[in-house]
Amino acid sequence: MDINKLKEIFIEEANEIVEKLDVDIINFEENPEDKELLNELFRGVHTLKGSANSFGFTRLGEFVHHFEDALDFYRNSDEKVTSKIIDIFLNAVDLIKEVMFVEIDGIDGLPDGYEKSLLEIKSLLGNGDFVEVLNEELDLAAEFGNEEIGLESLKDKLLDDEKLYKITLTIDDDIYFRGFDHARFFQLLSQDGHLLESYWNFNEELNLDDFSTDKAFIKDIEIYLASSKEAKLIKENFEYLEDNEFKIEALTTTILEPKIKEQESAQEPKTQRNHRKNDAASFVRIDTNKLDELFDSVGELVIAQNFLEESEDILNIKNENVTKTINILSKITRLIQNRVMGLRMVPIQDTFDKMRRVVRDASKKVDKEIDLVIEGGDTEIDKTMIDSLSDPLIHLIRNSVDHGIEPTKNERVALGKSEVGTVTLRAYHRGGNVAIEIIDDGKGIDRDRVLSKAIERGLVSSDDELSDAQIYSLIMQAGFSTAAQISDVSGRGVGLDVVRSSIEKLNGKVEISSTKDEGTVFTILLPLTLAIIDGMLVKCENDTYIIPTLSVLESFIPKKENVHTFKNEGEFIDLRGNMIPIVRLAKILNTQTKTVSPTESTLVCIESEKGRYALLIDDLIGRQQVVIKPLGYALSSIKEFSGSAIMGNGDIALILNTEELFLPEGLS
Amino acid sequence: MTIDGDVLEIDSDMSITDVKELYLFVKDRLEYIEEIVILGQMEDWKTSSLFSLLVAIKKKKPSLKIPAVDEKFLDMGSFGKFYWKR
Repeated sequence: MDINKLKEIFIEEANEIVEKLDVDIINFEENPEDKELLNELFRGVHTLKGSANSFGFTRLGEFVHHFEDALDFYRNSDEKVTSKIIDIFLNAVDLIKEVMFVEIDGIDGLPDGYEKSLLEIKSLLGNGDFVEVLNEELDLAAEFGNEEIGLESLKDKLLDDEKLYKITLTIDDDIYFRGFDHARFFQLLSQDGHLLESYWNFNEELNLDDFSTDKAFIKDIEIYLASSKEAKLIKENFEYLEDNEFKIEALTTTILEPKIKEQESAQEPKTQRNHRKNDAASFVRIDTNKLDELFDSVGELVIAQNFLEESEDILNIKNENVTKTINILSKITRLIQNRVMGLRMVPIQDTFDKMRRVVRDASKKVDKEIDLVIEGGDTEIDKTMIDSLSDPLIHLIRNSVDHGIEPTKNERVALGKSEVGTVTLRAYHRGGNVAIEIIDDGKGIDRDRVLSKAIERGLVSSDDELSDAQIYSLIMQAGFSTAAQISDVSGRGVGLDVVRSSIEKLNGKVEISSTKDEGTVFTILLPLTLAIIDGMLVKCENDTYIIPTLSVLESFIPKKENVHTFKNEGEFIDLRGNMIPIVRLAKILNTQTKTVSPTESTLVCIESEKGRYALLIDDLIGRQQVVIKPLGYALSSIKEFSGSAIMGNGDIALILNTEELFLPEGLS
Repeated sequence: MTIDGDVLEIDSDMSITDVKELYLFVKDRLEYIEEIVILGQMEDWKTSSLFSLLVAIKKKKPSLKIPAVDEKFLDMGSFGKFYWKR
């Protein structure tokens, strides 16, 4: 495996560890008696240290090493971990993220705050002498002028099934005379595992004048061997030596491991331990590219299956066995499709857990006491979406903490609420989508203030009749901020519009509802996966197109009296009192051969970022889930399309990008 | 074993007999030798007496350069890293 591939694996694993550190620290703050959480933290940091050192990331290795010492101190002592110490831990995790960044990118120097955070970590050990105890064995390395080498780094080099052995050779000085040589033992040991290091201690009487090859001048040699073999098998190499001439010690169970194991056995029920072991054995790490390839192949399988089902040639075969076999094949294909789809789905819990830190930091900054409640963490969502969901969620939560929850406890109490504010993160399935709600029990959005600000900024006219939802959605317009005071947390006027566009990139949308003095709900609606969309198949000039159903409000054949044409402004449909512009798809795509009357066509009402419009098409075919295929380099610049899909009959249908089909008059 | 100017080149796979020869060669020429380097694969190493001799030489003439014992450690390939007590 080349170094870049290894580096990729390191980055992925290190990121997972660091993200978990954040979550574990916050959980530990909430459950300070749970020493197992400290053990988890310690194990994470220990693994990170090993990986960092093996890649030569010494700056990261050093920092993590001290952090590990501090965690080890607290897990092995009765010292209370105060909120201030939690702050130091969290700062250390932030620093680790930054050091990782400079290490991976090969940037010289240290990130700002490195020394400060390191000092803070070291200061936690100020009164303890455990470090000396722990490192007692390492003095050997120092004696040999090699302070950086120690047992810890040796242990980090062990493979899963290997133990670290210390073998001390104190062979009498007649070794050569007896026909042996230290070199021979090195050769034998190298066959039993991998030799890591050895420390040679020569006799003080060794000098050139008295040198002789008849006599050995070696007092002792300490050899460190990594081996999966048992000590008794290693011992066989020395069967011709006297018992006092060699000593074999297994070190892996003498220093760090027992601390972990002792605590595990004391505090963790046996069944839970077994469960973890099984968990580890049940998972396989798979490159997501391989999953994508598998998914593509299954997509092709589904298309081929659809072709079989729809082929007239096959339908004309009046044979019961053929029909039965095709039916079975169809069922198996759907089963495989569903299972492969499931491979990409992961519970949202981990992402929600990360938000605990966000709430903690944000609430401290604005000096509000806030609880985070998580519901529906087991709701599954496409892995690709999870990665893009963190930033929008962070922003919405910060927004709730900063602007949603009342500034003072008194204000809350006066409204009959508890002193502590609550932000709830909830995930659940809604129709064919995943809904994620960010709910706060704060003061709600000031509807009138939002509207007046929007009018002042020219975003809407005072004559416009807007629903509450439409007014609330104005706060997601670029540059819109009603925060009277710009804070560190949010309120810079950039952000909520970024949230909206980030969610739209995931083919999702954000809905807002709010009640004065009761709170606000931001609902993120996302498709289950980015690889398949629920689409409405439409016909236009004999071509088939797909409209993502998430953007479709309704479809209808208009009555003549509801269609209006305004000079220089185009066609409009009067939809229950609202004038909505009509957009002719064939005209937009330059495929129009004749101009048909809207009354002979179908209108599909679309909700887009730029407003509502009615898309004029020839006919509706139906609704279908389709596997999205990228357009490729040549077609990707055509903004009216966002992808393509292969239909059951083998035809290709283009997926319409509903955000790019309509440009309001004022913006054109 | 060859001497190139004031640099003595020795082989990593010296036997104990070779080491004895080396000792006899070096002890009378120590003042002319400025450096001793080991050539070849360290995994071919045959005897610990070689390192005893090199350490003894270094003790006798500290200014003589012997990278194998001067460096922080000697990388012996599959035999690991060798550290010398100073």
